[in-house]
Amino acid sequence: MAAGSSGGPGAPCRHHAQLGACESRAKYREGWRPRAVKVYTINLESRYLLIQGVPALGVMKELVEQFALYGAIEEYHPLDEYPAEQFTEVYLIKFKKLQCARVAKKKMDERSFFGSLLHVCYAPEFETVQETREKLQDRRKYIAKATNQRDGFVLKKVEGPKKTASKNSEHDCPWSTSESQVATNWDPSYFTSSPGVSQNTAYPSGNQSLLPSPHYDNNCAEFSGYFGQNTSLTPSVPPGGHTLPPSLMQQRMVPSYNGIDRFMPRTTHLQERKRKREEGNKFSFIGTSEDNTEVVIGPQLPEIPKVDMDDESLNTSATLIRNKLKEVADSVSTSVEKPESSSVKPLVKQRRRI
Amino acid sequence: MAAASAPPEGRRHRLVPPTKWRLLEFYCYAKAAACSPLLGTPVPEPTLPGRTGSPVRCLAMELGRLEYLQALVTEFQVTDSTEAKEQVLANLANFAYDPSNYEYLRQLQVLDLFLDMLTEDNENLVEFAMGGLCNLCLDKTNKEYILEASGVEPIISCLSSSNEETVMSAVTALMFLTTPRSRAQTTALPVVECMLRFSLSANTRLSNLASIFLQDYCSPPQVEEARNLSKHTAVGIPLPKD
Repeated sequence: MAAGSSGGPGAPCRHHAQLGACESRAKYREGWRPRAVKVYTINLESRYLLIQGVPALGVMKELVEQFALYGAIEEYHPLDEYPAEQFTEVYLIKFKKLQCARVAKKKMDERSFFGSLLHVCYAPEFETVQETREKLQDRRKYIAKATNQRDGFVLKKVEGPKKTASKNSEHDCPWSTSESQVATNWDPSYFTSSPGVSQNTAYPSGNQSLLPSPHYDNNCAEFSGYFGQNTSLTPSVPPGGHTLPPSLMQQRMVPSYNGIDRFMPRTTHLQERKRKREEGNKFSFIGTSEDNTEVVIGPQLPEIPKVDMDDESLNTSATLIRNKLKEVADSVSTSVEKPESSSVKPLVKQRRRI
Repeated sequence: MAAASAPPEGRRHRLVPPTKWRLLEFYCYAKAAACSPLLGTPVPEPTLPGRTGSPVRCLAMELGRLEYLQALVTEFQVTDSTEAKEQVLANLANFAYDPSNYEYLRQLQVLDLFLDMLTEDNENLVEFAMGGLCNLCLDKTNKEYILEASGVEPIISCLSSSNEETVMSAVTALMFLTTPRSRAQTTALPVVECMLRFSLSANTRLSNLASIFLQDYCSPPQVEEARNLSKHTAVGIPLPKD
C-alpha cells in the first residue's frame, strides 16, 4: 500500500509536519526565508488551511478576522480532536478560493499570533471528491488559458457567468489592498518574492513619482491588461468586493442591514425608504456617476491641472497613463457603488455639483 | 517662500533626457531580473505574465530566468552531492508549476531530466521528478512530449511507490496525460485495478484522486472488468467485506 493509514481528515498527516529548513543550499539558490526542500503540486494545495499553534485564549474571532483579510472564508471551526501542543488549539479554515488560501498561507505561516508562532499548512484531506475534482479542473483551465495566452492565441469560449467567476478565482483576489498583495494578485504562481522587490519590478521607476495613485488601481490596470481579451474587469468584481477589508463579520452584516425578511410596520417602511433615498443621494455625490440620465446643475469645477513634462513623448505617455488610471478608477468606483445605485435607480433626481 | 523652493513637477525628469531615462529604466529592470531568481528559491519565482509591462522589461526578466534555470540544470548534472541534486530537482519541479517557465524548461530538456529521474533508486529524487511532471504535464506541448517519449510507463510504475506524494503525483499526472490517443495506455487494466484499490484507501487525498480517476477517466465496463479481475487474483490489499 502506497500511503500510510493516517490520511483521513482530522488525523495528523505526513504533509502537515513542518520539514526542517534546508541549511546546505548553494548561495545562488538561497532565498530570503529559510525553506525546506519540498515540491508543491496541485495535490498538496487546497482551499482548506489547517492552522496549528493558536494559543488557547479564545481568540477564534481574531484568528478568523486575520485570515479573512486574504479573502472570503466559507467555513471555519476548531479541530478539537487534532493533537495539539499544550495550551494551543488547531483550527480549520476553508477559503472560497484557492488563490486566497495560497496568499493566506504564505502570509500567515510562521507568523506570531498572540505570542505564539502559527503553523499554517494546506489540508487537502478535508476536500470532498467533488472539491478535489473542481480543484483539478481549475488547474486545467488555468494552464489552458496561460499557455494559450503565451502563444498569442485568444481563447474565446462562451461560458456562463458562474463559470467565468470560478475561472477568475485562480488569479483574481479582489480584496487585495496591501501593496504586497499587488504582487501576488496577478501572479499565477503562489510563491512571491518579498513585497519590496516585487514593487521594483512591478512599477516603472520613473513613473512612480508622477502618479500618486492608489496601489490597487495600478494593480487592476495590470490585471485588466493581462486578461483583457476575455474577461472584462467590472463584471468579474463581485458587488461589494472592494469593501475594505471584507472581513467575515461585514459580510454577515449585510443581509441584516438590508432587513428584507424582518417584519416592519408600514411607517417604518416609509421612513426606511426615505432614509435609503437620502443615502442614495449621498452616494451619488461621492461617486463618479456614469449615468447619463442624471441631471447635474451648478458650476463645473476646473479639471485637475495637467503636469507639463516639457517633452512631447513624455507628455503623451503621461496622458495615456492618466487616462488608463482614470478608466480603472472609474470602473472600480462604479462597481463598488453598484448595490446602492441599483436600489436607487428608479428615482432620478437633480443634484448640485459640489 | 515654500512656493519658490518647490520645483515644478516634471522638472526632475528634465535632468535626464528621455533616451537616457529609458536606458536607466532598462538598467533597473535588468538589475531586478538579475537578482530576482534568488528571491523565491527553492520555490518558483513570481512570474510576470508575458503580456504586461514593456517589452524591454519582459526581455530582461526572461533572460535572467533562462540563465537561472540553466544554472540549475548545470548544477544538477555536474554535482556529485545527492543533497544538492535533490535540492536542485525540487527547485526545477517547483518552477514547473508555473506555465511561464514551460518554454525554458523544454529548451533545457528538463522534461527528459524528470523522466530519467523516475527510475532512480533515491526516493526523494523520484518524488520531486514526479511532482515536476505532474506540474507541467497539463500543457499541450509538454503532454505530447511526454507521451512521445513513452513517459507513461515509468509514471505507471510510480503507482507502486511507497511514497505518498509520488503516488499522488503519478495518479494526477496520468489523469492529465489522458487524451483520446493515450487513453488505452493511461487507463490500462492494471492501472484501473490499482485505482480501485486506492479508492478504498483510508487516505482521503488518495481515495479522492482515485475516485475521480475511475469516475471521469474510465468507462464503467473498464471499472467492472478491473473489479472482477481483482476479485479473482486477490492481489494487493484485501478488500473490505461488504
